[in-house]
Amino acid sequence: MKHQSKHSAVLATLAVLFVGIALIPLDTSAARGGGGHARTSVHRGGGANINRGANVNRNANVNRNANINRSANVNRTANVNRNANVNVNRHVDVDVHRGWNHPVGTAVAIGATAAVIGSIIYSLPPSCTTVYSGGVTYQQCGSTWYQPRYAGSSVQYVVVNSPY
Amino acid sequence: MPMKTRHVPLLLLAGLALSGSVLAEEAEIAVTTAPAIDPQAMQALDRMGAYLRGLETFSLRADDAIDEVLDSGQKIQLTKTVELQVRKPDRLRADITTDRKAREIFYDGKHFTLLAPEARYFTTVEAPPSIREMIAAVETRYGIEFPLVDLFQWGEDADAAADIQEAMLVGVSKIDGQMADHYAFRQDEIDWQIWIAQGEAPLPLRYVITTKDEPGEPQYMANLTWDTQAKPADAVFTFTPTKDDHPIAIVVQDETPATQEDAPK
Repeated sequence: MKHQSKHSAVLATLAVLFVGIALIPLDTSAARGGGGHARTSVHRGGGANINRGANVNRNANVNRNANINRSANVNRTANVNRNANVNVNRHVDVDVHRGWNHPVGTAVAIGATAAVIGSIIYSLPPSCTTVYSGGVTYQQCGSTWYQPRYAGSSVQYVVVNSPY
Repeated sequence: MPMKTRHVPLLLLAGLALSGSVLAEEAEIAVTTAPAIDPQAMQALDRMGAYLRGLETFSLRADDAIDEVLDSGQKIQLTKTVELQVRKPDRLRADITTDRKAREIFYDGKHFTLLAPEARYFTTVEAPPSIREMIAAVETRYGIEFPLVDLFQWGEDADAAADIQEAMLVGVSKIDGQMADHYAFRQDEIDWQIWIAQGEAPLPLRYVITTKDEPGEPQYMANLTWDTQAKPADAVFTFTPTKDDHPIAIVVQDETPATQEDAPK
C-alpha cells in the first residue's frame, strides 16, 4: 500500500496523459462480454452473443472498468487493486510485483526501469520512431523496441528484442 | 403519455387472448406462463426482416451509445458513430469513430482488413466468402465485436423469433421527421425495442437493447440514418496499403496459447 501511494501522484498525472489511449479497450467495438457490458445484438448467434461464453475474451477485457475509474480519479487505490486482475494469465509484466500491473502503470515503469521482453503496454512513451524491418513494424523508443499488434480492435505494444 | 398508459394494458390483454389460441394449437411451446405476444408486432418484425433481406446495397450512419457498468455499480455511457457501406453478399466497409479512437474495416469477399487510420497500422487476414460468415469469424477468432450485426441477422435468422417471449406495439412515434412504429420485445436475457419506419420501406430507425442478466441492466441504443440508394464502388471495399501504412499482426483469441498471432498477409 505504501508503494501505491508513492506512485499515486505519478499515476494521477499520467492518467490524464494516457487516458485517451488507455481507455481504448472500452470502445464498444473492442469490448467483449465482460461484466457490465451491454449487449449490442438481439440475436443469440450474432454480435456479442457469440463470444459471451468465451471466457478468454471476457478476461481480456477486465481492464475496461479499471480504466474508467482511473479517468474519474476516484478511489484510485481501489483501481490499483482491481488492476491486479488485468493481466492474470496473460502477460509477463514488469509491474506485477509492484502491485499495479495496469497497462498505464506499465507505461510509467518503462521509463524508469528496463522493459521486460514480452511485456505489453497500451500506449507508447513519447518520442518513438516507426521502423519497418524484415516485414515487421516496430516502434523504437530510446533503447526499447515495441511491436504493435491488434488485440481485438485495440492496438497493444509488446516489448521485443531489437531487430538489429 | 395518457394514450400510452391507456392502451398498454389493453394491448397486453389482447396479446394474452391471442396467444391463448396460439398455445392451444401448439401445446409443446406453451411451457412459459402466459406469454403475451402481439402477432402484429411479430409480423412487423418479419416485414422489416424481409425488406432488409431484399436490400442488396445500402449505406447507413449509425450513432450508438452503450452502457458499461463499473464494479461499483456506476454506469458509464460511451458513444460511437459507424458509417457502413454494404453490397451483399460479400462487400462491406465500416468507418468507426468513437470518442476515443477510429478504425476502418474493409471486406472484399476474400480479405478482412482492420486499419487504425491515425497510426496507419493495418492488419489484413483471409476472410470467409460472405458478410455473415465474415462477421462470425472475425468475432470468434479475433474478439472484435462487429458493429450493427443485427442488420445482417434480422430476416436471416429463423430461430430469432422463437426467442421472443413477449411482443407489443408501444405506439407511433416520429424519428427525425419519419413516422415509425415503436415495438417492444422481451426475451430471456434481454428486453429490446425497435422503431420501424412506416410506409413502403420498413427500415429500423432505432433500436434499444436492455441486458437484463448484467447488474445495472446496461443498455445499448443505435439510431440509424439510411441511404438505400447508395451504390458504393468496388474501391470502397478494398484496402490498398501505401508506403505510409504499417502492417501489424492480430492476436488470435479463440485458440490456445492466447498469444498466438496471425501475421499480416
